[in-house]
Amino acid sequence: MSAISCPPGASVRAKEIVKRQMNEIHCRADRTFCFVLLLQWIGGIVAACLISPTTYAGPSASIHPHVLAAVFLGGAIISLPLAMCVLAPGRVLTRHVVAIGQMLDGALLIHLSGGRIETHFHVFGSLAFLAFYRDCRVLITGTVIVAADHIVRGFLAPTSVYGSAAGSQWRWVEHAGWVIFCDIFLIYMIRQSVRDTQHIAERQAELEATADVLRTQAAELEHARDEAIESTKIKSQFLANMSHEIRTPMNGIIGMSSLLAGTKMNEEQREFTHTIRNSADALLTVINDILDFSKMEAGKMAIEEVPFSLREVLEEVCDLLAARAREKNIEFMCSIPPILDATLLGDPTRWRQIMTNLVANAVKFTEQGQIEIRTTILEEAKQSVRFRVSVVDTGIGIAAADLPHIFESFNQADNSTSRRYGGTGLGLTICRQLTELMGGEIGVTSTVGEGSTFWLEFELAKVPGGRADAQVAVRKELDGKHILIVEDNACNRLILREQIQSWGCTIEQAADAEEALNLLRTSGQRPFDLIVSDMQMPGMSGLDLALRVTEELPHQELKTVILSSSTETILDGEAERAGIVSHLFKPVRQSLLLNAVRNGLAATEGSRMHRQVLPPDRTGMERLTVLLAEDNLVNQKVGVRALEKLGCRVTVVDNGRAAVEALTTQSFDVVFMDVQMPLMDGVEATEAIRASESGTERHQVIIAMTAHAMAGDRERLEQAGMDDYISKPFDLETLRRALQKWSDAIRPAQPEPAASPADGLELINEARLAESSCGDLDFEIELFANFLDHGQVSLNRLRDALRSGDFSTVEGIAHSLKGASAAIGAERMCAAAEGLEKAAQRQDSATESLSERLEAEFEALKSNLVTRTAPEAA
Amino acid sequence: MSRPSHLNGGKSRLWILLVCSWISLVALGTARLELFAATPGSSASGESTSAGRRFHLYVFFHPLCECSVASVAELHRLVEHVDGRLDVTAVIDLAGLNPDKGASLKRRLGDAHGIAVETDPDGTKTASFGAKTSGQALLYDPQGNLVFSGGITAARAHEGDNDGEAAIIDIVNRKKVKTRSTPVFGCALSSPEVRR
Repeated sequence: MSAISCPPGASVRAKEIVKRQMNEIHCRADRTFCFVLLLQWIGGIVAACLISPTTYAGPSASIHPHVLAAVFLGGAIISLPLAMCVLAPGRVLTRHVVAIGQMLDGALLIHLSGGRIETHFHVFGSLAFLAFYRDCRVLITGTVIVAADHIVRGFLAPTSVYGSAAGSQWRWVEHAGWVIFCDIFLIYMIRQSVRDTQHIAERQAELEATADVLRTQAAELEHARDEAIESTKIKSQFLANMSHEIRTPMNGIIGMSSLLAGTKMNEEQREFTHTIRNSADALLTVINDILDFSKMEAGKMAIEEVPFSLREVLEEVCDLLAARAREKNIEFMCSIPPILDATLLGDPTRWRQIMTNLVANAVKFTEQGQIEIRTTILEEAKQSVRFRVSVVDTGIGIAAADLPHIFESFNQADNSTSRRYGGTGLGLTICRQLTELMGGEIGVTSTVGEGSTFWLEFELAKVPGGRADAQVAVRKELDGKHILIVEDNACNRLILREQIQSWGCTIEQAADAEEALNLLRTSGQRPFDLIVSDMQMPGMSGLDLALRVTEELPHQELKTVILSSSTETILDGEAERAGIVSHLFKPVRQSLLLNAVRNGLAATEGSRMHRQVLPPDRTGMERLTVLLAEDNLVNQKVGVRALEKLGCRVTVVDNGRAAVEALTTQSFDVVFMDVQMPLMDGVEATEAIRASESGTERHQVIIAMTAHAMAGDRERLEQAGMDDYISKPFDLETLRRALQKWSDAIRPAQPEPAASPADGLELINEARLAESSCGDLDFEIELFANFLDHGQVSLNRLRDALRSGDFSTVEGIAHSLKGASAAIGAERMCAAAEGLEKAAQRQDSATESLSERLEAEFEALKSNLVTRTAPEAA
Repeated sequence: MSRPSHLNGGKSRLWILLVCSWISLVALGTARLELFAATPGSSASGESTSAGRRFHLYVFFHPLCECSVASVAELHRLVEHVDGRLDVTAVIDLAGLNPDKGASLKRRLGDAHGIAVETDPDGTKTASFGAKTSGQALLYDPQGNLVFSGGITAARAHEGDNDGEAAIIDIVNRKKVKTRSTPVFGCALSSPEVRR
């Protein structure tokens, strides 16, 4: 890039500018003299007419020769200068001719005025006018003309120039002297003016040169900027593509290994599968870390500010990682004060990411003891709340020397940590950067061998309203309920007490089962409504406690909610005998605990009134109908198997257009829509579906499946009308969580699933079809295909029979089709066939229209078969 | 785009030719004008007149001649200069003209003390002195002899020092005289045909 300096060409350019400007000045002066000369000519004529209009010879008068001289000689004097000013402006000759003309004009005026000395001032005025040219030579020409005129006329007719003849021989010297005196000042002024012009021209040339350099630099910068933008675009696109390309096969590995783990395997196979799954998870973490880090480095990480529940986020993180903690027999606790039930403004995705990272680290580096997510309020205002979230573990801890570098990129406490525990060393860097992007602070305190505390401090705005109403309703419902908490861990006891007390319940606590039994035995005045007990306690377990309560205190008919840190299960029979209404894993989500407490209280009251035990909590996603739009065969298989395992009935299509078509013939509880698909992508398909819903009360739940990792993707999906999204790779758990989240929204909206809007009949009664095929998917498709083959032959025969008016044959075929369609659960076609059969019996004219309806239903079934067999065909 | 040099050169030559022609034309016109200014009218014959006590100056005017303004101014100056040693008679030739035409000149001449103004309605007196051009001055000595004949302006309508005025002053002051005759610049006075 060139530096700003005055290039050598500037002086040449300056000369060009001076030349151009001088030419402009000369032309302008020429134009001025056109008027001046004309004016003088007219003035001369007027003066002559006034001074001596006529001459006489006795009584006869004639025009005075001075008038004629003013007209003709004056005209002759200005003619050429005028012509040259018009025809050749700016020429050197022009201005010299103008100078001559101007001075001759002056001489004429002096003559016409009879040599009046006052008229000589015209000469000085003329010189001043001629100075307009900024050309000293013009003044010299003018001066020469004046001097010559004075010399010549001084000798020949001195009175015409001086008014008298006295001393006329030398008066021209005096006159010329005064003219030269005037010239000196004018010439000085002209030279000064020309120098100024040159100076300005030089500055202008320098400015132009500088401007040229700046323009060049600006162009270079623009080019560099464009290249940088292009490079960033390419990088972003590369990141997105890489993300997509990596996540798609990762989905296959994770999903399939997850499914494989659920099949019958020997111990060795199970271990291998477990290793594959763990390796895939580790690889995915690494990939996610690198992609996030790249995004932040590129400044592409977008932070959103939406209403969210911090409690839900923290509980989701607990849900996600509690299993790992349980596997390591680590006590996992989460305390969230009720104040944080308020809806806050922030980025739930990034909060989840940070907390998952911190808690996952805690689980990773803790071999025994406990992990606690502790949330404390630092300051609460009307509009906002400042709080600290700490992840406290009893893990290996971090050396003091390593603490200052713990949030730096690619840094772990030491290299051996990396070798032993794995990880990229980017997780905490990402946490720090995300925290700073969200306006918070992150820090750590740690003691080697005792554990670490990672903390976050944030001030987030509260969303007015939010969960306050719900909280009031809960307090109204549970106010005054008497609950016994049995928990050996003091910290957990405290957390449970705070949670349950915040709902308005009164609490009594016991550190073990014996203490609990004593409290129960002595609670005659104020009996307990419910027991919330830990499962694993020293001495007597929670299950044993519940059994003892039912045995020793049957009159109280108390129900128990069991909280467990291990994977140990309770058999249904045992649970029923012990009056256990819910079995929850720690740390318990507040919402789940609330549900469990509600169910428990209802069950206790119900038992007391009706002696009936309520069934345990259900997932609520059984028999959900799901449309899976996914082009990748592996992902299709993973999705189908995982959803089927969750009890869903799945229909698969391999592009957006097919998904839209499938929704026109069949209704689904939920659609899982891949974003990138051939023919029509997920976004376009969703827009088409939303467009078709416009003006109706229908709302199809659509959950996007995206492998995209770039900023703005979420907004794009939301704008397209998607309700939610899950990131690839997904597995059974991901799908379960997504369906659980939306099951409440789906079920109330569609109490009668897959009902035909017209007559309440389904195109395919999936239950009936599954019954016919004994749950064998391949057989189901074969059955369906056979039906369609035979159906097509029957319909051809039906058309022939109709054409020949053979009602008897029509009736027979319709009857046959009615039976076949009923067998596979094709309810609408069955109804159509029945209608045709009856019409044929009556030999009714409606047979034709009914046969058309039958054919339409048959076509719909054919389309349905195509969507069912699509993944297999692919 | 610049024109070919031979075209520019041709055009320049044309301009120079034009300039030369123009200068010539203007010079010619100026010369003609100067010639007009320097051309005197006809002089008077200047017969002797009757003797008097002092010098007597007769000056003849055309009432409408623009040059009379300069001659009147010079006459006033002359009268002041000789201060009572000279009798001055200004004759206004009105032959062929409305008598009113002489009123303005008469008023102007009368502004100076020591000038006798006479109108000559039919040009008889003018003819008797043989005056032919406005501004004609005739100086007679006390004996009645014509001692000077000419104009008292140096050129047409030009005031200022002039030989005629200087000669009259010298004669009156009895000094050595350079000339006794000068050209007269002014309009022609009435012709004999008009007087008739």
